[in-house]
Order: sequence, then C-alpha cells, then structure tokens
Amino acid sequence: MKADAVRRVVNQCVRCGQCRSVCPVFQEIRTEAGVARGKLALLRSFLEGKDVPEAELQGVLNKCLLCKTCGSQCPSGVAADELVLAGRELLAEKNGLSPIKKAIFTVLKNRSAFDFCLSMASLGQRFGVKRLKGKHLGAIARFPMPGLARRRIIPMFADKPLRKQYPEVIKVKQPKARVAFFTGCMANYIYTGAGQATIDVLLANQIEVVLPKMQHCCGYPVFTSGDAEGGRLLARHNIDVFSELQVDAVITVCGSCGSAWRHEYQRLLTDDAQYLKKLEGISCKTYDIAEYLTEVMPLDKTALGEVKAQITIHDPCHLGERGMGVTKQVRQLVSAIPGITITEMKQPGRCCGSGGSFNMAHYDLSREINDCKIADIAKTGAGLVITGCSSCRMHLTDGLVQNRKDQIVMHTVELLAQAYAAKQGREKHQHISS
Amino acid sequence: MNKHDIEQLITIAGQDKICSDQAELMCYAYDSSLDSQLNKYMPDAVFTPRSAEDLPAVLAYCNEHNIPVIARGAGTGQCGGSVATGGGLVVDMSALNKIVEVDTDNLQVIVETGVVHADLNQQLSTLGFSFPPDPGSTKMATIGGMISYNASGMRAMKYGTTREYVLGLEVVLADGRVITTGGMNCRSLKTASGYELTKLFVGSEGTLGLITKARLKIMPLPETKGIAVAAFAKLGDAGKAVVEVFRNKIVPSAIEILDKSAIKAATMYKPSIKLPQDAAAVLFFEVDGPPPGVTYQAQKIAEVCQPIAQEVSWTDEPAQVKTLWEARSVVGAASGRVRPGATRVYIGEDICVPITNVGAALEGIQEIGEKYNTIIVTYGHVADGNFHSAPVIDLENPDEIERVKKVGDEIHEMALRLNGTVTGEHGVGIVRAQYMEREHGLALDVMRTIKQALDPNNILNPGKMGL
Repeated sequence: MKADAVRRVVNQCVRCGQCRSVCPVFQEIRTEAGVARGKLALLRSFLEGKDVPEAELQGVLNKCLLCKTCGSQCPSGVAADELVLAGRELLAEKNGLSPIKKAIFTVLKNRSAFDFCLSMASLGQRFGVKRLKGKHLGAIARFPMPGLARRRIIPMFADKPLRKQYPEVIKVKQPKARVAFFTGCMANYIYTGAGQATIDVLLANQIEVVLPKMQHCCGYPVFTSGDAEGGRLLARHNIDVFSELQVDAVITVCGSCGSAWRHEYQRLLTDDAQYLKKLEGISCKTYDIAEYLTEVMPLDKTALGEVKAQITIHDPCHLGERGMGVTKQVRQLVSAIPGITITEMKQPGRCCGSGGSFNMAHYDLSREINDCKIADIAKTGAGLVITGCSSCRMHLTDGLVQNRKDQIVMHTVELLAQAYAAKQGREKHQHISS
Repeated sequence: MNKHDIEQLITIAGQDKICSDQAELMCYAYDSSLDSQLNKYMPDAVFTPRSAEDLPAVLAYCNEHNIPVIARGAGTGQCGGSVATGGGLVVDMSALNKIVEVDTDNLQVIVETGVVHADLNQQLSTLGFSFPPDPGSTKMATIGGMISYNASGMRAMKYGTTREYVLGLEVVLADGRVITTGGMNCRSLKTASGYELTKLFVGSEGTLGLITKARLKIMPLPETKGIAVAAFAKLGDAGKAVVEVFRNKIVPSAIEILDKSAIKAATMYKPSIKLPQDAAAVLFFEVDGPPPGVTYQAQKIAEVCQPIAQEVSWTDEPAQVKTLWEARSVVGAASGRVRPGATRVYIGEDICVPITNVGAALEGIQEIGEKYNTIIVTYGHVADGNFHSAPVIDLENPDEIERVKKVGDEIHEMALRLNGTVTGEHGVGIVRAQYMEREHGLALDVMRTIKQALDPNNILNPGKMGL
C-alpha cells in the first residue's frame, strides 16, 4: 500500500478504543502503544511528516501479533493488522530490514540454499538441543542461542524432510480427485508427521497427491516483516510452480500458508496483472485440509476407526474466523471419529501468542499471552489439543511444558490419520487418556 | 518538565513505570475528540502505576515542581479531558484493574478505577447483579473514567447516572495525601455525615484528585427484558410518544431514537435490519423486570404509540428482543459508513435537552447539517433528551474540518437555547470549556474556589472545564 493510501485508511480509525477490549498484546502490557489505536495514531503522525523516531516506530509496529482480532471487531471496519503491515513495509523500504532478518531472508529466498540449511539442521541439532523426556514432542537448547529464550521448548527438525520421503506424484487406483499438496516449511522440515498424515488421509479417500518438489516457503515471515518485494518473489515462484500442475485442488495444512494463497498474494501482487490472473486460477481451488475433506471431497466416515480421547480445539488466527474461516469444518471432521469427545475452550479463537517470529523477538510477552491460552485449555479437562497450524502447535507445546501440563498437541489431520489407521489396524490403536 | 524531572520521577516510581520515548508519548496525545486529532497534545512523560501505592510520591514531586498531572483511563473520552494540553505527566490508570471486593449481600463492590466496565459487569452477572450505568463504550471504558465524567448511557432514565452509584472513593490529592470519602470503614448505602465529598469528585474530570479506588452500589439484574419499536412520520410525534408513555405510568429502562439519517446508516451497515425507510424517526423502548410486568409494559407502550406512530411492534421473546435491539446497537458503528472513505468525528456529540424539546433539537441538528453541507447521523437516549450527533467528514479536506467546527458550535448553542446542556454524559474537557460560564454563571467561580483549595498549584488536569 502506498503512503497516501495508508494515511487515508488510518484516518478512518475514530479512536474509540474498542481494540483495547480484544487485543491480546494490550491485555498484557496495558499501555497505549501496545494496542491498534496507539499504533495507528503513531503511524498517522509518521505519515503526516511529524517527527517520529523511526526506530521507536519500528519497535511499536513490531509489537503486533497480526492476529486480526482488532480488525474483526472494529466498529469502523479498519483492518489495523493490514495497516501495521503497511507501516512495516514503508519502514523497510526506507531503512531496509534489520541485519539479522536480512541475513535470514537472503537464505530463505534462495530455495536450494534454504533447503540445504534446514536439511542439514537435523544433523547438527543434537549438538545444540536435547530431546525432552516424556510424551511432549520437543527439545531444549543446551546452551544460549540468539533469538531463543533459554527455557524455551522447541521442536526437533525431522531426520528427513517430508518432500524427500515421497515421489513427486503419489498415485492411487481409480483416483476420485487429484490434488497438489503445498506443505509449507513446518510440515516439510519439522512436523513431518502432520505432512505424512495429510498424505495418508488423502490416499485413504482415494485422492491422488502431487507433491511438487520445487515448491517453496509461502513467504509469510518475509512479507510480514515488511519485505514486500521478497514476498512477491516467493509468491511468483510458487504461483509458477503450481500453475503448471493439472490438479483439482491445492491443499494446505497451515492457516498462514493457506491465507497467503487466498488473501496475501493478491494484496502483494495488486500491480501485477499477469501474476494476478495466474493466481486466480490457483487461489480459487486452494483449501485447508479440513475444508477440503468436508466441503469439497467429504471424507469416507465409514473408514474411521475408534480413537478414544477427550479433545479441545485451538482455532489459529489465520485459519479460523479471522482468517480462512475454517472452524466448523474442523469440528465436523473430528466429531466424525468414533470415541472423540470435544470440550470447547472458553475462547478457542483467541491468539495463542505465537505470531510467527513475534514469539522469538518478544518471548516473555508471547509467553504471557500463551499462558492465558494454556489456562483455558486446562479448564476443559481435555487430554489432547488439536490445531491446524504448526506455529501454534509449537508455541502451545512450549506453553504446556512451561505450565507443567500433561496435554499434548497435534495437527487435526494427525488425529484423522490415527482414526483411519485404527480401522485399518495397521498401526497400534492409540488411546489417549483424558 | 525537564530531563532532570524525568530522572527524578524514574527514581521515585521505577524505570518500568515512567516512559518518555517519543513514540510512546505520541500514543497518549489524543482521546476520541476531533480536537485532539487535529491538535496532538504531547505529554512529557507517561506514568503507568501498577498499584495505588505508586501514586502519592509521584504526585508530591509533581506538586512541588509544578508539573501538570493528567489522569487517563481508557482514553475513550470525547471532550479532550485526558490529554495534556500543556505537556506534563499523563497517568495511565489502565493497570489498576483489580476488582477488590464483591459484596452482593450489601449491594456493593470495591474496585480499582482502571477496571473496565464490561469486566465488572461480566463478573457481577454471574452472581445475578450489575452496576447499572451502561455506557456505549462498556467494553473499554474504565470505572475511573466513568466516575470522572459522570458517564451514564441508555438506561439513565430509570437507573440514573454513575453519580447515583458511587458510595465512596479513595483519592490521591494534588500534594500526595490520600483521603477516603464516604467514611473510612463505612459500608452503608447512604450517609448524612459531613460534606458530600464523594459526589464532588464525581464529574470533576481529574481536576481535584486522582481517584484510585471506588466503592460502588450494585443492583440485582432484572429477570427479563422486553422491547417495543415504533416508527414515526414526524420527529415531533416521537417526542409526543415519549411523553404519552410516561403519562401512562410506564418507566422504560431505555428509550432510544434513530433519526432518518441513522435509520439509513443502520440499514446500509446491515441490510438485514428491517427499518421503515420513510420514517422520520424510530423509537426503541426497552422495559425490564419480572416477566408479567415486562409483557404488560411492552404491550402498553405499543398501545400508547399506536395512534401516533406509523407502525409499532413489541415482543417479550428474548431472541426477538435481541433482533429488534440490533438496529440500535449497530448505529454507532454504522455512522461512519454512510459516506465511504469518510470518518465519523466527535464534535457537538452530547447535547441534552428537555424531553419536550426533543423534536426541536432533532430538527435543529438536521438544519445545521444542511446549512454547513455536512452529513450528520443522529441517535441517542431520548428518555432523557440526550443526543449523540455524528458528523461524517473527509478528514483530508480542510474546508470540511472548518465547517464541522461550526456545526459543533451551533449544536451546542442550540442546546443552551432549548434549556438544555452542552453535555449529558461525556463531560466538558477542553472542547466544551467555552460554554461553562454561560451554563453556570457565578457557580463557576465557586468551582474555581474549590479547585484552588484542593489544588493550589493547579497541577491537576490544568486548562480543563473552563476552570
């Protein structure tokens, strides 16, 4: 968004302050710079040419989870998260990115270098982190690492990335449909179990899966840091890769990846008619896995075996009501599994405090926000938390360990895969006590 | 306020409670008023106390060094009351947000003044009680802000304003001394002992002291609610209907009005809301109490309005009550949408006139809008003649800004002409200070004497209320 356009939209904030009642950041820090109204006022001063120290402005704009809660409830219809993003873009254009982000994104934007680094990370990680004992899937750093709080629980990199575990096309006999799987980085390099589960469930429903090897990061961490050009680079790359495919749908397993395809690429490529047209052909058939298996190709419920568990569902910001709008579909899917009882949290859609790289830059704050979520989870009495976003999963796991809770977290599709496996009897029937 | 003062305040209060970063300060340069959007009022520092005990030493220092101290709750005010017009220290009370004690048997609670109104009522509702004043900004307004500006909302006709529910206060005076009004250990619901200092602080807009705790009266929640909606061909008919309802011995818990522009705004915002587009005004009557009484009252209101109104409907079914109330509840949000790309601004937004002048006031607002070629959406609490006019302008257009300033002034002038007041529930601050002399005459001198006695160095919210 150009500066003039940003200023016009910022002006539509009437400063009623309703965002104070919902902003997770504000509810912890309780100062005006923490809430959308404060950020927009500051941005307005900056755009009006007032003397706003840019480093301070950057700090204020960075203290936003981009959870969209303020925008979704703004009486004046102002999407503050988009304006915060626009502000970050204006600052990045003017001053460039921070040296650390610049270095990381340089690697990230290069597909083969990025793939090489993350594939190698699995080899080197055992020197830096030690795996947690018990059922939580996580590890803790052996020594202080930059950007990582000392007590923090992080997931391990997978021994082998998901896309290297499968051929590019995974065939089934008499396919009912053919889909491309946009894995995202987390399901490819870290939570490969969620990626495998997605493939298993699709195959169980006789859907052929294409796993394009050339796909790359959706760009969310890049463009939300203000590097719009980097975001466009990744968007165009992915659009090129996926527009070549003859598929009925593109499946995502992460709210942010899905939102990138559905909403963000369009915003980034507003001035690029050629790519917008190509994108249109893909975004209209991009679905989160829960959406696809309920609304497009309803799953075969008769093949679901019993999984005894009391569960609760965390709706990620970019997948749930404020993002792709996928909430009821998740409930429909898991309630079809025999043996599952759903106990809802008081606020299943409240941000878990992860916010992409926010939780690295502001770990203590994101921990406080997450602690509210963990308390909400604990009140349900459920033994298992399911969610459709790996970043949320990572942060929730950390929160559960920090708060000494026993619940475990998994992706929705992993629970489904367990149900299919239970019926097929090819995997141990897993009872998850509540 | 100089660098040395800031260093001293940091020494007194702690590094984490005093902030002087430019960017942070800019986030405290406004409230909701148009005035504070056009003239950003930068404080020199912001103080965020984490407990009431943090305040006295800071106040004592400021008093000694003549540093202005401006109390701020959620900053949702619309009169510039919580902005630092001449620099100084803004005290953000948001973190003083503990509900200290809930005593339903004695019909009272004790709260810190940063508690948000909706949070208090959320907790009370689980016990079957409520703190009755009900501002539109319930989700963010703090109790301290409500007390300081004597806020009320749509149920003031039956339940009164904040003032009627404040039993006692803990106040930090300008020199840092702490007093308790309403009796140190008092838990009674009324008192005839001494000057009524509690009520003096209500509506004092932070000019007499910083209120840190409040003892508030609460009431049992009504069992049920009903609603009657009536549409009128003429604005005057709406006023007549209100008078008739009272004549028939019915006291609704709220009577809300939408004028033609507000009907249009609500419909544009949410087309599923069915409101008669040819009506000059729509009235929403809310009644509450035990079920038989609610049914009787809603039905009776419909009967009374029938001969005057174009159309009338009523219900005591909870789901339908919610549906019918929806049009009223969205109108504040809807106002800005009548003109794409434009912004609703807060100016001349809170006049209050006698019920018999309701029609004249509504017509007057429309005429002023036409005169200055400015769209004005008007809605409000007609039961006590309190209107919220919402001009919608293009903030990038200096000519429109100049015109809307005149609109605000003329609306205020009209209210005084119609035997009303320039503010029903939002307060004076800076934007209505110019009318204080006319509204109060000699009494304003008495107010100045009180201010001088309690705050001789004039450090508490200076420049406000025409003092």
